[in-house]
Amino acid sequence: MMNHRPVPDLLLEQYLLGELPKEKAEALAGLLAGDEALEARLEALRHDDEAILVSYPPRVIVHKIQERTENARGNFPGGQRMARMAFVSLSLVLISVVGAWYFSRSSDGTQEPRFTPGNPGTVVGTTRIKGSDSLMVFLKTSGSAVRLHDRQAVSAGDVIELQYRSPLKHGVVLSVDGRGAVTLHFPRSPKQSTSLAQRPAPRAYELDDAPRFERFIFITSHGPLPVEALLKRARKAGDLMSGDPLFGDLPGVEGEVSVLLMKKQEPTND
Amino acid sequence: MDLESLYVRYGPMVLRRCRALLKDEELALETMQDTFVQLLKAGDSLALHAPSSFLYRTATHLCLNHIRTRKRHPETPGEELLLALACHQDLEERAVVRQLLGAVFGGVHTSTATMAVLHYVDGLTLEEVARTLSMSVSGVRKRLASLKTRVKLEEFHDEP
Repeated sequence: MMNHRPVPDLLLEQYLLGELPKEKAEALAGLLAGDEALEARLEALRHDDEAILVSYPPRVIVHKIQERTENARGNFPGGQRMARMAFVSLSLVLISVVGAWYFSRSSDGTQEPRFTPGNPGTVVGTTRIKGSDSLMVFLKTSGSAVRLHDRQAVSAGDVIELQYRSPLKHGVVLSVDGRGAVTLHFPRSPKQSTSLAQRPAPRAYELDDAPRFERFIFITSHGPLPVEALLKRARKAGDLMSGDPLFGDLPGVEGEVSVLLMKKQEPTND
Repeated sequence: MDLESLYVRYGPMVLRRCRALLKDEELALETMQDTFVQLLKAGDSLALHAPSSFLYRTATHLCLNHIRTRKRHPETPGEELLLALACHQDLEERAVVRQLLGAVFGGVHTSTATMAVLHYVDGLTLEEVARTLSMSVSGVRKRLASLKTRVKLEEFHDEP
């Protein structure tokens, strides 16, 4: 059906997203196999995805969308708007009063504040994570690429592809599996530059039979990163399934994002 | 899925759609954001069950609104509005699209306008349009047939 007409953009977009019905996805995969121009269109979409997310970072755009949503909700008739403003003002006053009381009570020694600057209970690494860093993992199936999200299930033998970007100049991508084995994805070796300008084209990886999970981590920085130190830290890391940042306290590390994939339990023949 | 994940996953597709129809980066960016506002308003309905279809048709709908406004208050003198939409290569089909969309902008129901763009400009089949709009194929066929009839009538009345 799709042989005698150009493939519409929407179908190509949905194919890339993995949201095309199975029958159409298979037909399109067949076309892609023998059509270099079509494959080039798909590849251009992938690259454009990256370029758009770098030009318009998620953190910035999400904020704007939330503002627009609030504005849309705030279109009340005059009386309701006044009541809403009064409510907001009153809430701010109450928050200020309660906040002042809470911290004044803490400072007299009767009770410790839950979070203060330098409090060891604060997770330092999370304050450094940049919202515009992005690590995307795609599952490749018969010519299609489906984005995998945090804690999605995968199996041994699945072929995945990593895409990552950051407004910062340097980065390291590594993964740790359920056996504790650490794999360096970028740069190719610890001695190579961590400059993201030199990152290679996306590569496909086949997952091995390591149990429980695969966690992919993208660490970013303004300057060169100490790859050996990062690998050492990853090897010694404890609970990797928690999603907590691992590298936030290392010198130079500015951002850290990760994707945790859960390994499906293979049936045993016992 | 939270808003950031939705944007990372679908934002580029929506922006590309808006760029293609509006040919104006700033307006496309704003329309892309408004498309996500509509998604948030839709909440846990079918919109989140099939986000790509919802977002694509909503973006198309919002772009048509902007284009319609431009037609009433042209921002760029001499801009051939319909040609910006009619990106199809075939000149004959583009003429059909101009006729159809000329009627669309004259006040035909917006979802029919979206339908017309998906079918005549984007080249989706009736079945694909129906899936994108969560409608039956016969419903789409009927609406487009009705649109064609209206176009003919308007053309007739426009004759000197």
